[in-house]
Amino acid sequence: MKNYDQLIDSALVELESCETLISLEELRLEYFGKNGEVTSILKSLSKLSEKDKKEVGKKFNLFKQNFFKNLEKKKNIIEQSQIEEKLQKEKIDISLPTREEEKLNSKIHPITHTANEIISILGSMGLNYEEGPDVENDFYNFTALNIPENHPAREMHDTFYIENNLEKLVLRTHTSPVQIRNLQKKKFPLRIFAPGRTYRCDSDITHTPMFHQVEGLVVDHSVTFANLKWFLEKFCKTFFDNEKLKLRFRPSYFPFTEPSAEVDVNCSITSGKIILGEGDKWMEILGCGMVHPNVLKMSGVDDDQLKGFAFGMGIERLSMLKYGMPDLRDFYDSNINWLSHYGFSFLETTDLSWR
Amino acid sequence: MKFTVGWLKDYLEFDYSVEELCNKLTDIGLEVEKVLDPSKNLKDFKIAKILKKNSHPNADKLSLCEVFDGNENLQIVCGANNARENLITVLAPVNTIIFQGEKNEFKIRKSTIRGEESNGMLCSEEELGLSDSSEGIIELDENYKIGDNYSQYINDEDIIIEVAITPNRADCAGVYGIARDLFAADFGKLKKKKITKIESKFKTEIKLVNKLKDSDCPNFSIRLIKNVENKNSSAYLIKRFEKTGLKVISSLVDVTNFITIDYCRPLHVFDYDKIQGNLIIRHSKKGESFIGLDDENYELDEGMVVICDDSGVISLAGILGGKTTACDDKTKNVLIESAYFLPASIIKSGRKLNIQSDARYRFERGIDPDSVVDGIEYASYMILKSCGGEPGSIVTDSKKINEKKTIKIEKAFFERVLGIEISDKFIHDKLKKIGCDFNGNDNLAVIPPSWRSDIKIKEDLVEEIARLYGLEKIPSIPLDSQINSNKKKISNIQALRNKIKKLLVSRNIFEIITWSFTDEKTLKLFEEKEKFLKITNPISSELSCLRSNLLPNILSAIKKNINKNIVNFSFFELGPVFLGKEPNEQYDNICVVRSGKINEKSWINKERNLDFFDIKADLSAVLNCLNIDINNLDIFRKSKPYYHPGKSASLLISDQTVGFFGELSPVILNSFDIKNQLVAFELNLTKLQKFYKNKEKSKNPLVTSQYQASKRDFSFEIDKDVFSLEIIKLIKNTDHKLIKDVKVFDSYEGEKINEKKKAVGFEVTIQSYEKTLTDSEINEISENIISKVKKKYNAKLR
Repeated sequence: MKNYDQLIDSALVELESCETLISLEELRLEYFGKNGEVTSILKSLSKLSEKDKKEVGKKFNLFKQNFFKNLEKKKNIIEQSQIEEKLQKEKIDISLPTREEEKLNSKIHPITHTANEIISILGSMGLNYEEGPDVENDFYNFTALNIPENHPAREMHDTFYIENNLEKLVLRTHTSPVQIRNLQKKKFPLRIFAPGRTYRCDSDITHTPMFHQVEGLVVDHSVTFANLKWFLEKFCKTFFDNEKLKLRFRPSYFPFTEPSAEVDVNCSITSGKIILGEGDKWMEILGCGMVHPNVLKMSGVDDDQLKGFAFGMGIERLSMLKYGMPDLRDFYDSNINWLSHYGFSFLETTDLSWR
Repeated sequence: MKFTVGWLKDYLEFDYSVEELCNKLTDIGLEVEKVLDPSKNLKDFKIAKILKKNSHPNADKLSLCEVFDGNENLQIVCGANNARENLITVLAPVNTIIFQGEKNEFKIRKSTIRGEESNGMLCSEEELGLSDSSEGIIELDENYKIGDNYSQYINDEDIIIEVAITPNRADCAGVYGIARDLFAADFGKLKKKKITKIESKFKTEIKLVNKLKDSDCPNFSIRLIKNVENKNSSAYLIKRFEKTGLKVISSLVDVTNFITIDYCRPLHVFDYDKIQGNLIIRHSKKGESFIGLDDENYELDEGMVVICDDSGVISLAGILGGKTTACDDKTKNVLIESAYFLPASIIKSGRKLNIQSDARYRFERGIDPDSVVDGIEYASYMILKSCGGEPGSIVTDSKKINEKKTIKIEKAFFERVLGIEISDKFIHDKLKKIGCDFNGNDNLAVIPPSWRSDIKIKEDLVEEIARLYGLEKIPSIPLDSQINSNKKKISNIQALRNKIKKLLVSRNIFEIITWSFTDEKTLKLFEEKEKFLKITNPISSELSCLRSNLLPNILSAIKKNINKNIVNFSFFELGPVFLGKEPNEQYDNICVVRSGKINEKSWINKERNLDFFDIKADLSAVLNCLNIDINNLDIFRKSKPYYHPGKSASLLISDQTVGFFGELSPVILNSFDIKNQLVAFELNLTKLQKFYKNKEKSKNPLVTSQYQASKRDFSFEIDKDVFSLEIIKLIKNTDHKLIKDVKVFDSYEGEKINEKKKAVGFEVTIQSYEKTLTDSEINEISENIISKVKKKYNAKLR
């Protein structure tokens, strides 16, 4: 019986020295191909004695197992290093900008964003979201709000009038007409807010002919000025996200509320920058009061039974105080640079839903 | 309303600081708008004297002054005209800080001006913060000691306070009224105004007819004072006028203006000798005219309250005196007028003629009707003091004074409104201090004072008590958290608006908000009809009517940005348009406009022009928000004339047009001077949202097929006018069950085929839920598709 040990050893050494998949395959064919050495040895096995047959068979079976185990291992190593090599060559400039870089810069207008914040807070404080038309008649905009013809308060409103023959039409000077439209439904308790466009015939640094307001109205059997204070404190602290914010209620005058007040929040002003919630300066942010009995009466509501409070505020003003835009007029200038800078990503903007 | 602290102290004794005073005023509803307290910033200024004045060798308008500051002689360059030898004035020495407004302050330095040394600055009143006038340097008299610190000469008459008076508080449009209100708030002690009665020396001989005593002019009184000398007013009065911005005219006129501010009692003086015949108070007739003290000629309407003599209108009651009877330095005999006009009549004529005056400001808020005679007496007293003369009798033509109205209020009502119990003692004390008569305890009967015409109902009394109590002392009490029984969720359109805005921004479109108004001429380019809502009093002709279309404003906004060289961007607005005056004719529209290239020039993307299909994608995305598939709607080629006729469409749902989209016509863009190609869509959200159905919360089960899908391509040659969507629908209809999807993979028009035809390639996905389809089954479906398309559209399979 031949000694096959040398053959086996050299096959395994050769296997170890292979560096490519091709040479591996060649080696496999050399030993285990159709005419491979091992193949022919095994073919000639029948000529041997039973004893030798058994012994050689066993030896080569073991060899075959080892060979292919090592082959697989080697193959993996070679493949691995080939991938490695390929990856090393595939280098890119990772600092180049993305396809999306110039794309995702569009923004929600800050008025929409601010209104959404206000809407969400008032909604979650239990007020219903109501709306009304921009073109109003004289009754809803003035008379029903206790501002009769020739009332000096009409001077406070520079009103736009609409050319019309039948009735006096105006562009609403405030969102308060929505109060009347809801009071007239006579479903109490009434708790509503109404954001929207408002108009005054005025244009300078601090006035635009169109602006946005939010109106709030709560009417119930026992609503007091103390409740109004609580409500607005809660609202302002939530809106400005500042528990330390101080509010100052200052007596004022509005024809549709009695008593009336204007509300200031505390702030500091250093080199033109306003920081709310600190300092001892005051910044006016809204007007409010207890609903005037004439307003209730004129909508057919029993003013002995029901009391209410109302408030109104300018959305642009709240937006400027919270986000620091310096000039009101920019809101309507549609300047891309301004919109990019002061606008909000669609992901930042609140969803309008509350329980 | 402006006054000095000294003026206030005529009527109110107090020891508080200016800051405390201002806080109190604001707390009781008299909001302090401005305080001018120069004493704070004046500690470094000195009294100095100009010893010599020489002309500046290098500048005509400047002079070289030798100034003695009590210690040494300094050379100072000065530009004031009134700089002269021996003038005592105020010096800001080197290193003094000059304050002019909150942000504006500068330090005086030793400097060289046009080659000459200057060691300080001689000051005007403006530089000292004493007034807004900078005409020349301050001129002081011998009472000012050279070398003294100027601040020690500052007194209460130099501290100016300006308060905003709300329209209801006529009583505080006078210094005395402000003192009275501060006193009511326990801030100092009121020195009660005593009006001296002047005894008449003769009977005022003039016939007075008040035709309006039962309507617009319930009270009217006059008095003649003979032999006056209309000199200059006293120095202290002139100083107050200057501080508070009143115009000094002549002693007689100054007296009336002083009393207007001091006592909120507007008066008028006529030169008696210029009046012809009788005095009549009546309504004006149409066509009458009148020349005011301001030299303006006013055309009067019917029904304005006027004071006339035999020659016609000589005064516009409560608003403006007339030129023909005005007092001047030659006036010998003066007729004082004091009256009460109803606010409504003053508002009407003041507004119509657009005259602003201190008198109108007070009459239209409602002055004290009982102050008519007091006003005459007060004026007489002052005139006699400054101009001499002999007083005549007071002639009055008034209606009998009405009985005062009583307001009934239960004590509990204060708590009902304010939410806090307020003691009887406090309420009684305050009612008394604001001048009310009252009786009762749990049920009060209150008669407000004549000067508080704004207190009409019990809520007004609650306000008085609340503001004097201090709104800050009212606690915050939670609104009872009972569930709002009428509570509802936000409406579809409210939710959709926000959803759509977010969607469009996520598609790289900027939200803009533009005016609800637009230019009528521009709007006419977009709308065939001329049914616009026009504004009677627009702010400018470019904003003259309400928009019925969002495009004009968006295009203007786009043009503005293009002018700044920004070209590739998109805008949308979601806002109201107005098709009529009724509330239901206001619609929420969405309009998107894209401009420029879809990709900017970049290392990785190819530039590409925007086209119809970009905007169609935006539109489909919005429709998806409403759970509407654009392919299930009717699309028509016919749209608006401002779109490209071949590359635009209108969108119909249940036979209603809800929108338009496509490429904008170059013709309309030319009128905006826009050279780019723009694509746009417009959608009427109000109409569209009616078709929006909230999806059911629970979803249908997911059904997928486990059998293999097969794809087959078909290319048909069809007429150009046939919509590919029709073919898709037809293909799908051949076997709804097995045809899962039909896609257009190619659309060709050009030289290789007949010019009236186009070749469209469709990829059809065929799949069964029940089994793997055999080739023959798939072929059968394919044959079916081919024959149907051929038959219906006269198509050729390629």
